[in-house]
Amino acid sequence: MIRDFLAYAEFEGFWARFQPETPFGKDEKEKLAVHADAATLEGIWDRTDTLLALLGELDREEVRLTRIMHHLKRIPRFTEEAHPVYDEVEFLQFKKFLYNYKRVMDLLDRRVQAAFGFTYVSEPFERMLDVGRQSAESFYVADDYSEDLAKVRAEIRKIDDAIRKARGARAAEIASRWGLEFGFKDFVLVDREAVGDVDKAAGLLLVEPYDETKYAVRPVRSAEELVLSERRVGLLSRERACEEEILENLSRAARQELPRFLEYREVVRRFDLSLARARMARAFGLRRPVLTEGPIRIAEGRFVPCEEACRSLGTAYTPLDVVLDANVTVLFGSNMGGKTIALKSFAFLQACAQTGLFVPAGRFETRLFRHFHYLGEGAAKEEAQGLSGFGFEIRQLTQAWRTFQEPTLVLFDEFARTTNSYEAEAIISAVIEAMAGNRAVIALFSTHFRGVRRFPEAKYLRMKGLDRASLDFHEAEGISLDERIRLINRHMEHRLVPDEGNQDVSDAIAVARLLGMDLGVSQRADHYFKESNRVQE
Amino acid sequence: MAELKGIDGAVTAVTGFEKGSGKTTFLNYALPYARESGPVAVFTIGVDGSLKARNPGVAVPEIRVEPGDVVLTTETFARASGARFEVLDVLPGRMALGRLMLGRAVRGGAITLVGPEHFSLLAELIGKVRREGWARTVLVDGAVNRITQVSALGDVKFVFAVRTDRSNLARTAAKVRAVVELASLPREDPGGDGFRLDGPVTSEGLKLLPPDIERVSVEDFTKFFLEPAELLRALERYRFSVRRAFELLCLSVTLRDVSREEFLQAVGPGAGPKILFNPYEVLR
Repeated sequence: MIRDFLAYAEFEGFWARFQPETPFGKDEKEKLAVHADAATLEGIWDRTDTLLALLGELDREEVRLTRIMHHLKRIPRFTEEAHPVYDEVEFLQFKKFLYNYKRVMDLLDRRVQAAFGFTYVSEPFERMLDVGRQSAESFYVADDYSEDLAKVRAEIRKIDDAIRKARGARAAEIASRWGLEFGFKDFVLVDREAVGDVDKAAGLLLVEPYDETKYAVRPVRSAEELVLSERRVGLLSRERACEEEILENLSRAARQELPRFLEYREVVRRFDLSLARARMARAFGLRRPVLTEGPIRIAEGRFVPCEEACRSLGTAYTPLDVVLDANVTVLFGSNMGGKTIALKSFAFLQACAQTGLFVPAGRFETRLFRHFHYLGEGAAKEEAQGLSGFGFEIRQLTQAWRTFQEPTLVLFDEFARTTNSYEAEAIISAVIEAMAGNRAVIALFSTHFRGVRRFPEAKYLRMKGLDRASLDFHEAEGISLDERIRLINRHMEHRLVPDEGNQDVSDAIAVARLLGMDLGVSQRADHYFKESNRVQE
Repeated sequence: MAELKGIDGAVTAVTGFEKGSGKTTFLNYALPYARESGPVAVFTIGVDGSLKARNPGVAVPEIRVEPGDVVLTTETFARASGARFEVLDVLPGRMALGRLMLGRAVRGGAITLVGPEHFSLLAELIGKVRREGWARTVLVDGAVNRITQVSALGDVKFVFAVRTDRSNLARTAAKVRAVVELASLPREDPGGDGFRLDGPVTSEGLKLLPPDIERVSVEDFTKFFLEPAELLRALERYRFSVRRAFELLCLSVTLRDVSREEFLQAVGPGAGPKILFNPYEVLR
């Protein structure tokens, strides 16, 4: 249900712009956790506020911010389980984690460190990982870890020198006899006649046929080189034993350090997420939501996907202002009037708030919900094979109904639009009646069905609609569809006003005319609309 | 004939028409030249077939590293090698052969290269190696028949390793001619008026081109999927240009039972200047 709700709110595209930098922050982002606990959210928002203040200070210290981001991005995962022996790769991760964690911490003032719980008591372990000549962000079992290791490696170097000399001597012999230079090549291809008698060459050259005219030849290793190579194999084995012993000692220390690593990880995860939230708040002009038990109030609430679409189309965008002081609110309005956008705006703001983001609004006072439902077109239908659109909606409603004893937000966007209008009005009226007064539920309906019953506990609003005073239908003559849409948007007032229950003029017929419906047909439609109004009166 | 030039400071992918075309041999030959301008990083893509098969009787291709060289391999291979490596970075995830690590050789020796399966990951890694200043020159053992993906590595130069004998001389020569023709396609002028083809160039796709078209602009030369004869016909019919050009450094050619003269005659005069004959061959 939450996925349907978030998809309806077009929230996932916005969430994609939430950019934690560490693997731990990225894991958290992937979860897309929706929080319903006030203390958790207030904590998240407090930390965002702390980092908004920091970002404000860093506007004058751009280099410091760049360095914080640089080190944050370089913090790697590490092995979180206790292992008997960690390998070099795992030690690199420990080392790199500590180095970058410490650099981030050092770049923060004490107030921010305290707010996130930054501490560092791992200097001894860090020193253990930085022995010999190696960089702060690489790891190598260097000679300096143990005298035995240094000795064995010195012997290997000596042997390598001796092998090089032995090879040089063999190469010189070959060069003097056949004039062959190998350089850095393991083998060369030579004409068969250049080698001469293969049997006689056997002591110095390993000869293999290559093709009909050439041999592939490589030097035969001298007895001295063979002895040296054998000794080298033995030394390599000793070297590995020394390295293993060092890794075991380091692993003992790493296991002891592991609880601290897990603490650091939590600190850096919180910091990373908060910094990403703060950066997003600045980028999109987001404000901290306010939790309340009272009415839900939205002032200048912006549905960012629509705002951006309007900007790219060059059309005006109207933010949402509304007070939801009843637990059921019904929104009327014509096509293209903005009912759905009003619902989506609220859903979007609520999704931002409950995922821990600040919200795109001048002010957003809201409560927290445990369950979220969206009932309408576009909801997932994977499990609804065999049901009609109407049947599917009813099934969704039945499922949603089970959560209505707990804090629930439910949005009905043109519910029951596929059935007979009288029956739809009857069903919607009954649903509103059943929900009205249930303080656990906040329900919003958008509908064209003006015949739904008016209950005193429910609130009825409508989109203000077309501004008739400034509208001249002649403006729509001979213009393209895009221009017609812009014309409608220019004259449409996308704001909510109380609905008095009467409707003297039809915005739908006017919109149809602006979109190019035949004038005669639209006039007859207007006639029937007015006639129908008179009958109802 | 070509000399080995232009690999220092660049990303060069060594690729070939088929398995056993001599890519690793060429890499081992090219490495000492590449090192002349500083540390070198050597990568491969994916896992060599003999490693996947884990057949103990089959030799695993290795390259010889010197101190300062940067390689991508697994932690298991690094430990088993006679060379010693400083661990610089670790790739996420784990393969059957162990975790992929980027190591800088502290002591020389032979090492088996192992690479990520996806070129995009390799491209990221190459970017990192150069940003961090670990190496200026990058050589990629670019896996056979994956030329198209190699273009994902960005600004990359190519070496084609070719091995031929008398039985496949004509076929190989045709392929060589095709590669040379494609690599010498002109770069499209900015704002050029050639018919823009966004997808691959296939024989079916060519049939769908408007009949009056003469000039065709293609993303890059790796997007041609035509048999050599078909390609040569297409090159005669249309004036192709590429929006992104890759430099073909050379064709590293290994001959068996075929003389250099025969090979040069088979590939024609256009290919000659790009051919680097087997550097392991001693001429008398």
